Amino acid sequence: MIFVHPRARDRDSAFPTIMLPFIWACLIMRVEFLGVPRQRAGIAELEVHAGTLGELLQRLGAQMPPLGEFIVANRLHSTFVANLNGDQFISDPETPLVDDDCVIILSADAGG
Amino acid sequence: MPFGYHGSYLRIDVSSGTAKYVPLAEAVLRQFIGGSGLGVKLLLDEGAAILDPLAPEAPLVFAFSPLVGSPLTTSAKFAVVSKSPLTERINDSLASSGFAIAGKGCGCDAIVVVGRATELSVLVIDGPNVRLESAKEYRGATCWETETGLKARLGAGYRVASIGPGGEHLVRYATISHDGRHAGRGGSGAVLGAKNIKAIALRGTQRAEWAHPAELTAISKSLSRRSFGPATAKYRELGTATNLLTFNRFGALPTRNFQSGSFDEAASLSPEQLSTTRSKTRESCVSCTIGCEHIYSLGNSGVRIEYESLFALGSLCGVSDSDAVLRASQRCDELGLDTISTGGTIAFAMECVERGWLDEPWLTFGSGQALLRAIDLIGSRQGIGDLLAEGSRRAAHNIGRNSIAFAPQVKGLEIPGYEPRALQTMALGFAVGARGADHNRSGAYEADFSEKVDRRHVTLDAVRHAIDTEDKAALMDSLIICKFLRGVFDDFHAEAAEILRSVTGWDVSADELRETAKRIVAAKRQFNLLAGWTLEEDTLPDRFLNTPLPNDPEASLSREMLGALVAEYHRQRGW
Repeated sequence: MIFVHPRARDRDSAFPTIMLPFIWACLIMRVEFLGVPRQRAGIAELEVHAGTLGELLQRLGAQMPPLGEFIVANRLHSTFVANLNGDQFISDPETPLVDDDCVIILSADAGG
Repeated sequence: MPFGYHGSYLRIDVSSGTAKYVPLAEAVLRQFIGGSGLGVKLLLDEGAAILDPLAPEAPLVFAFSPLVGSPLTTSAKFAVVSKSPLTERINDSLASSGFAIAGKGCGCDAIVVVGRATELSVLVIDGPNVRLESAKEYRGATCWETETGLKARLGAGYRVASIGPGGEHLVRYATISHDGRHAGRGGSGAVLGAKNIKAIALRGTQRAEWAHPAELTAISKSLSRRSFGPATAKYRELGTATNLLTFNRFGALPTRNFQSGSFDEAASLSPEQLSTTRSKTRESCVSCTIGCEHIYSLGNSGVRIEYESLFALGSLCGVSDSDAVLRASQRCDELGLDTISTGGTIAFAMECVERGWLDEPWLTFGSGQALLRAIDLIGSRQGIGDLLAEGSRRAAHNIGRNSIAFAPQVKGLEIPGYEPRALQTMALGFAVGARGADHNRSGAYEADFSEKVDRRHVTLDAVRHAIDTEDKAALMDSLIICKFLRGVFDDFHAEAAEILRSVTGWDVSADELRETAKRIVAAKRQFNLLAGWTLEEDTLPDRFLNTPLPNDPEASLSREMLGALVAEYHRQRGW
């Protein structure tokens, strides 16, 4: 079962924001999906708790099998990339994450 | 004659109605391969750099490649190369599909057209036989009307590339269209229009032999298999239009003539949203296994939508009405206009109107109706359209008041949908581009969307990435292989060498191809030097320098930093 988070921002009616139920009581960060990752995830964004990028990807892969195909050993497939807070692109699974971080997952071949 | 080639080009003078096959030395083919590289070499040999691009004697080159006609996916492509009437610099634009295969089937590796026909004509190339036919009945016809009409008139087997009214009226960013696709940038349609040629219709069945057919077949199967995988999923599933929301999220979506990097209403134009309200079909070029073309319904018709068209005719003009933007894109295709330059020039004019510098009060940001009216005026060069048909740089010089500071162009070519302040490796790629601001000749944005650089605070380390992507593009455009395949290669240069070896039999290596790419980039620079290029051209408009993006103070690029990047680029190039 999926719950719509009360703080969700309805940016895109085609892809609502959701929150995975197991994290309801946790401190949270936001994950945004763009492009093909959004197609795979079926949602625009969600909120999740994780201490590192690797943990975050592991949880996403477990909860979202279509996305999980693109997550191998806590790393994104080379066709996807992750960005932290709209600033730096990150790939090291040990990259620490803190509350209120926003991780954006998008296709690697932006542009074209 | 080397495998993969016919070993000659067809030179046609439409003034005299004569044609001849001119031999091409194997050494030249190995040095420039085909496509853009061969086209630039032929232009240099023709002395095109010092000619008025719209003069009868100015050559227009259609260059094929050794891979055309092979089973390699995405290889049915051709380059149209000339001096640009928009920039007065080198211009090479690429298009795809059956025209490339039929053109090479005429027994040549390139077609060079010079002269001016006495009346609006169709250049008919039937294998080795060349003739001119009247095209009077197609005057004013759209690209599609011309192509379908000529195919019906001439019969089976012909492939047609044509200009629309834009090319007939010498709009400086008119396209040459084939099979719904366009050799889009830089005004090759105006060059053909200046020759009084409405269309080129050709058919041919001559095949160039391959050196190692079994090896080529195996490589082709492998490449096709990989082209169905995740590396091309973006193009297959959503198309380039998916860039819209991505770029908007990163503040890199040019909006209202580059006055902002984000568009509040971007979602309404996104493919994700368009798919919820419109039917969609998917198509591909001949010989392509990716199928990147996403065609959205518009009334009773369909419109092929790309990111660049959505950005240029949407956010750049502040238009969020998807019906208007799709119709505008469709209208550009009909008239044979480059959507990027059309949108860029109109957006520039909208800002001039906003400032009270242009007395066209109807031409306002956000008005889909104004956008469509302006496009029609450009295509017919009526009213304000006559000025806008000249492109934003010439329009700015005409308007004055230092409006050139915000004319969205480099070397006269309107800037594609990559905000330079938010994507600063790309800013360098734009500044130094031989044909002007261009995302197809520089893939520097790839570095901006990676860990390699800090996209809003680049250092001189960004230069090597800009050079790498420029070289890679030059090679892909000469081989010719679609850039949407770039993600499937583990080692592009090694695999490209293997491909070329199987087709030509040359013992070519990855290192040789790296040198070939640099030679082609240098040849473009040589053309520009002969045409009058100076270092001052390798820059960006004032708008982008020293002033941050309004909503992103970190997205700021100083004049000094860009100057240092450009200087380092030239140093690393050895120029």
